[in-house]
Amino acid sequence: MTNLNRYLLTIIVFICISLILPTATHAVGYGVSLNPPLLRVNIKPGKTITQVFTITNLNNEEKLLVARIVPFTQSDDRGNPSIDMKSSPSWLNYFSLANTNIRLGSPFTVKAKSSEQLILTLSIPANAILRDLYSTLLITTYSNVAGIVYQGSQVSATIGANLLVTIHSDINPPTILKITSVLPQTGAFFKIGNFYFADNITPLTFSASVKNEGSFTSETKGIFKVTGHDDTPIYLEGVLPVYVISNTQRVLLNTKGENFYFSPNLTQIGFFKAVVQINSENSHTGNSVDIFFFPFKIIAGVIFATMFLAIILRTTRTIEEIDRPIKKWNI
Amino acid sequence: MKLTRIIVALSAFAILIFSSLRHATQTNSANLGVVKDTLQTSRLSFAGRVKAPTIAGSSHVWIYTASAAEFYSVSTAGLKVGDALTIGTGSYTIDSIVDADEFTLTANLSSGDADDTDVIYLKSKPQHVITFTTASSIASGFFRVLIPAATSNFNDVAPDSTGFDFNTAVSATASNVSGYTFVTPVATVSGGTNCPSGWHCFEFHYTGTGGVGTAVTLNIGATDGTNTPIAPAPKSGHAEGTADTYSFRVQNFVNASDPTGTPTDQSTGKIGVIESVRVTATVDPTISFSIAGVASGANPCGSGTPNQTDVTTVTGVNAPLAVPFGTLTLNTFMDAAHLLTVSTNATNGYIVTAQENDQLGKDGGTTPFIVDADGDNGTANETTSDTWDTATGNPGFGYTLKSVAGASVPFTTTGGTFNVRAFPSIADPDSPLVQNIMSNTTVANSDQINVCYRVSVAATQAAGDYENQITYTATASF
Repeated sequence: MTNLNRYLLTIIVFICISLILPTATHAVGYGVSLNPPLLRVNIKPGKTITQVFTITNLNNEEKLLVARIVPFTQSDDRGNPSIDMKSSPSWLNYFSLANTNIRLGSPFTVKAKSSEQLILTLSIPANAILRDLYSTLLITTYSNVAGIVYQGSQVSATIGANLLVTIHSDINPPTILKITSVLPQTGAFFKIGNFYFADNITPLTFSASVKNEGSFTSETKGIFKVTGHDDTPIYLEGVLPVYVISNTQRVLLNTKGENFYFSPNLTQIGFFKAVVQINSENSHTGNSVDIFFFPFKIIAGVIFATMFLAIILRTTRTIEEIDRPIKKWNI
Repeated sequence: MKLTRIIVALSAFAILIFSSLRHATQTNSANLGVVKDTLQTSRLSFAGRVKAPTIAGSSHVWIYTASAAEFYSVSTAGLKVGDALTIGTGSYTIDSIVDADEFTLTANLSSGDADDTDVIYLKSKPQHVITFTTASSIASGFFRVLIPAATSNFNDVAPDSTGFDFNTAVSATASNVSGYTFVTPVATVSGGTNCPSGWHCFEFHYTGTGGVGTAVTLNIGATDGTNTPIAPAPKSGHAEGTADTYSFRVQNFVNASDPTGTPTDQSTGKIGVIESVRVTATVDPTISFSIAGVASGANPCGSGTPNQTDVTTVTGVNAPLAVPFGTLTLNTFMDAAHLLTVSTNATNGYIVTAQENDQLGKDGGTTPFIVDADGDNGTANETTSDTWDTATGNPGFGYTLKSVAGASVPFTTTGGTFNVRAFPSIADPDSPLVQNIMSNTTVANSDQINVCYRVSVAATQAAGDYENQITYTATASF
């Protein structure tokens, strides 16, 4: 075989392998980043603020994008808004872009691997109602290829920054937070009436949630603690600060983003309280659950072991009695 | 006449000499040259107090922001991550600085270390390197260094607000130079033998002829902090960021002279101690979202040939933002997929939602249309999934999900079973507006999922081009 033949054979084998084993390769597609992803504003009526949002095109080709602001009134218990694309309240006019060449609702180009700044201006009229405004700044891909006939779906990608605006004369307007529940979630426990009975060698996790019954957004700064008989804390964890918009409920988590955690020990027997307290600038609230810690597992183990030993002893004694030689009486 | 003049001149000279001897000026000891006490670190010690709600069993510490006698560290400004602290009687390490009056530890506080007003000490123990040049040639004499001592509790192994704490025992060393061969130095606590109150004394005796202008280096303490004086904590009325200054002295005595007497040469210098500068940098919060195509012949969601992608979303018009199914075969599945990636450093994570503008409509219209899939058992909808492995008799368009990295998905395909849901439709009043398809409750570094699309049509489906639009929205949670 000549060198040329070997060379051709190698190329043919390589092409065949490439065709036989298609790999899940991903194209460099759409990629955009947005900074900041959240804007929290307290503003007085009659005032104006400006915030710059930076959009970065992560692709190797320029992208045509559209910016718009869409309102929302509700969010889930994890702080994710339910964006209402169809809604168009009049207060959307409070928002505008100060850019000379970019307008809300109109396409603009971001060059490959570069950034564009959106200068968002929020102007609150002097006679505006004191209330919260919730919206999302959405940056959406814009298709400039018209009239394509698909047998399938065209995909539109959107990235958004949430805008939580409070219009009020006070920097911390009054609000009403209520901790709706503090409940053992996992661990060894059972419930009788309002009391929980838990094993004191098994760690417990607790879930908690808070509801904002007020008209203004509040932040959940506070602590989770377990207290003893005399209200002395024996365990403490911080509450992850999150925003609770008006008339919504949120799950409360510890600073690691997990359910609250408490690992009791054998010396902790009796009634204890698991308490969540929120002490934000504009809200103070708390809730607790009573727990009776007892070494249930150890007691059960001891009882089981005792019964087991008793059975063994009784069985051994019975066998001994059966095996005992029968005494014969010669009368 | 000439003789008279000579006598007068001699007399005047004699009077001048006598006068100068009669009013002889007092001679001062010479100054040692270029005296410096270079501290290994000019960092202040920290003396603060534990404040409620700090409790044992927790790693979270609150400190008093009001001072008390001897405790003038009233903010965390002088602390940094990794510092070794004494709290109560225990030893701890700082894990994070929360704010001006809170920090966390790498371990939980023990009982007895978390009571109100328990002490919090950071003991800064810098080595002193004293350098100077000699002013006189004093044979076999000694140098004495005076370090400012606290006015009280100057040897209790705790930082003081008025000077250095002796820290029980202090080691000292000196480097031999020409004319100066040093013997083991002697350290004496404030008020000890031959050591005046208000100073810790360190004597460096030497043999040799001495010299003038000789550079001498004396060390007090060690670089690892063992047997080293404890630097002062902030003074009363200390202003953060402003150094507290103290004086030190270096003296040169002749051999066997009384160190409490007057030295031959002496110089005084200044030491400044200040809070360490905590270097911080702010990383702006951001969220990034990308969509990439998936080649044909891949298995991005389910396993086996039936779940392989039939069309590529890598190339083509508007790729990757298109799902070009192309010509469909009746009662046969056609599969395609996208890879979604999200990164965010937002504390509360992110969510990606999906929605369609309408069902796949002929030429983009509303009717006729390819129905949204309801699975093999007819139970799938926007919020409930159903298996969808049989094309015949189950026409429709739907999707399934597979988490690739980090992300949570509400449902997924397992093995070779395609679990399908329909996209929420803006046009359908009974449909939810959007549906969560990908989320994380904390920061995310390149979370990835595959979205796999599937379509099948029955023989009754009117011929034509069917299309719709799917929107993915990524937002950070608040």
